[in-house]
Amino acid sequence: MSGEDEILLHPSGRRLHIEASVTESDRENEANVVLIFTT
Amino acid sequence: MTLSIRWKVTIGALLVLACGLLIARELAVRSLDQQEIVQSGQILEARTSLVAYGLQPFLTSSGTLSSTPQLQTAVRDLSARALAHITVIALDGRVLADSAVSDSNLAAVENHRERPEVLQAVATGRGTDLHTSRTTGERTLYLAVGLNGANQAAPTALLRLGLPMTTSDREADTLRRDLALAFGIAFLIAVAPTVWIARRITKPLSDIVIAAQQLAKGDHTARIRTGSRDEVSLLADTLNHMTDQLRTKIDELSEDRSQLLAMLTSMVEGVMVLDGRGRVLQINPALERMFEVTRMETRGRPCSDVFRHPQLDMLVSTVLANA
Repeated sequence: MSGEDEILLHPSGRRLHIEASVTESDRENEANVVLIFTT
Repeated sequence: MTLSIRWKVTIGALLVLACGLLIARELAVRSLDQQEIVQSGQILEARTSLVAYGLQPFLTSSGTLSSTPQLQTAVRDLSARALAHITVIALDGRVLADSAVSDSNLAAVENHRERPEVLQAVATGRGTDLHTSRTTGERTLYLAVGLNGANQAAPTALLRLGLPMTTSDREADTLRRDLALAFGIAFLIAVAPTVWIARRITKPLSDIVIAAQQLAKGDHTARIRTGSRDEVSLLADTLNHMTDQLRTKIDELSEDRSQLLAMLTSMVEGVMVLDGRGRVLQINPALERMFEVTRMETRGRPCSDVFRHPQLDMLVSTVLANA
């Protein structure tokens, strides 16, 4: 599963592009979702 | 209070030793007692024959024997010479003469028909038993035989001799006391070697415990050294091997982590890692700068609490829901 979106940062007004990807692990304290933010 | 394995081994060994010494003492005393009984039996046999011979003049030609003062005097005299308790008993169990009873009390002596040695003698002509005399109160070995008159095939009365086992009992008590002293000293002497041996056996285990504690504290260089070549040594070698493997794994993981952190630190993109419940596990410096937060303040907290950005929350929720 993956997804992407754009968000607007306040108060700077900068736009950030986000890419989300899901790892296969579903255990607690293990990486499950990785978000990459680009300007 | 918990005892260390060293003291458990020591106490266990000493208990076994004490039990062994006690059993040995009882066996020695019992063996002496049996030997004394056999010897006393042989002496009793000889003396009974002599006393029976001494009583021949009191047997009438028809073989009957009566309780007379002369018989009582003769029995007392023979008892003094044979150093034994002598009783002459009629076949119906009446006591006709007894060396330990005065003439006036003779009639009051209880019937001896049910005494084990008398029952045997009536049935077979000869009976023996070892029991405490009701007359003297001493442990006594008895031998009862039939008394035959001249030309009489069947016995007409019984002669019973009792040999007090007081000397044997005294010897058994002395032996018991001497052995208790000897074994007590042996036990005390054995304490120091037992403690030393228990220490030798359990020291490698103590070393393993110390090394395991050092490992638990994070000292992965701890090594277990044993001088022996037994199961404990094998266990120590296995634990040392396990420690080496653990150290190698930790080094590899540490190296991987350093490389990963170097990559994350050098990236211009912001990176955030979340667990399955949406809690922040890791962020990189680029993301710290983008959102003006620090890694320490975000770690372990829900993403929604840290960033408070509805669009970001929605994206995370959607991704987690579909994961």
